[in-house]
Amino acid sequence: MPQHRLALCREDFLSWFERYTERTIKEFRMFTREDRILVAISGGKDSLALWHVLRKLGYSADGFYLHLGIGEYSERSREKVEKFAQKLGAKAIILDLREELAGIPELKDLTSREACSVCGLVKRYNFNKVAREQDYSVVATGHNLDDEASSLLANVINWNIKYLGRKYPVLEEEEGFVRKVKPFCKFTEKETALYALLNNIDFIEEECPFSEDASSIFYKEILNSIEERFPGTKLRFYLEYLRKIYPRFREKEKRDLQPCKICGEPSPSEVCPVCRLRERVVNLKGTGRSSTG
Amino acid sequence: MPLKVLYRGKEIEIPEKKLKAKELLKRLGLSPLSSLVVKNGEVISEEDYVEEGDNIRVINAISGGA
Ligand code: SF4
Ligand SMILES: [Zn+2]
Repeated sequence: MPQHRLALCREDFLSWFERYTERTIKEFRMFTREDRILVAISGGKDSLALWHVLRKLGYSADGFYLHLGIGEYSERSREKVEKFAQKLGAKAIILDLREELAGIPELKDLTSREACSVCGLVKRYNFNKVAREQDYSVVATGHNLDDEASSLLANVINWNIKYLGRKYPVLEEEEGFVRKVKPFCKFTEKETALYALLNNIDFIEEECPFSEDASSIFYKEILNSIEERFPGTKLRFYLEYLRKIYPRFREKEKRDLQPCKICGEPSPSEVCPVCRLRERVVNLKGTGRSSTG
Repeated sequence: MPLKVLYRGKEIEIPEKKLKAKELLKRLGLSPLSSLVVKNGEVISEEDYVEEGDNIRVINAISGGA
């Protein structure tokens, strides 16, 4: 995004940021003040800033934190989330994945999948499940422009065509799924960081230890090098995708999903991937412990 | 006295007395497009200076993961 935005004075920047968030919410018809919004929070700058700004704008927004069981990193981020919820005077739902299923390090070993891929699966599952159970109509995440543009770039480079029909800042509710939205999709990471800093939001700065393997940082740096040479490229790359490419690839056909026969969440097979994971965890531990959900 | 910079929870020393924020980021291998310098509690612009004795914090806004 143009550098001049960051040269605004403090008050101007904050008010610009808030108005622009509101505009994005309206532009993509993400939600209204009648909706009950569940903000997926990690303790990082984006999600805490999102929670802050939505409440400031008068939306009904509670937080949801999933403790991933990733050692010190998870402990420290949970502390930040609890403190911030208190400061906001807002409700935070906290769920411990180690009690619900198993921590990410154990799930990674159990499945021999990349940590981030298992993590993405259990996060999506729990966001949706908790939102449905507790009557939220929308799940909001703090994904920013750098997140969206870098994953778009990675998918274009691999000509992952399916992705090109799926990546929109609003995913409408459908059978078994609540609506999912990304109100920060037009802000750069630097802008959300600045908003968090100027509001004295105490976010977790350290990275998840698994993020070192994540290719997303590499793609973000590449986009930033292009941006340095040709300012405005990052935003244009993303917005022109939304305008020109997404409509062509948008998935028309219904996905073939059924309610999981164990937990009831939408699933591509009789038993959903998370319930299958749970069965493996239970077998491994040799206990008959059941889900707390 | 070198510049003392707090970066991701660690203190780093840079053997300079005075440096432009932009230059400081370069020394740390960071792009000004994705990082911010906070001096004595205030976010400063790339063209501002930091000096020895300042309380300096650098925020790298890039985060990874899915
Ligand atoms: S970096 Fe990967 S494992 Fe860590 S929280 Fe993010 S998605 Fe999960
Ligand atoms: Zn299930």
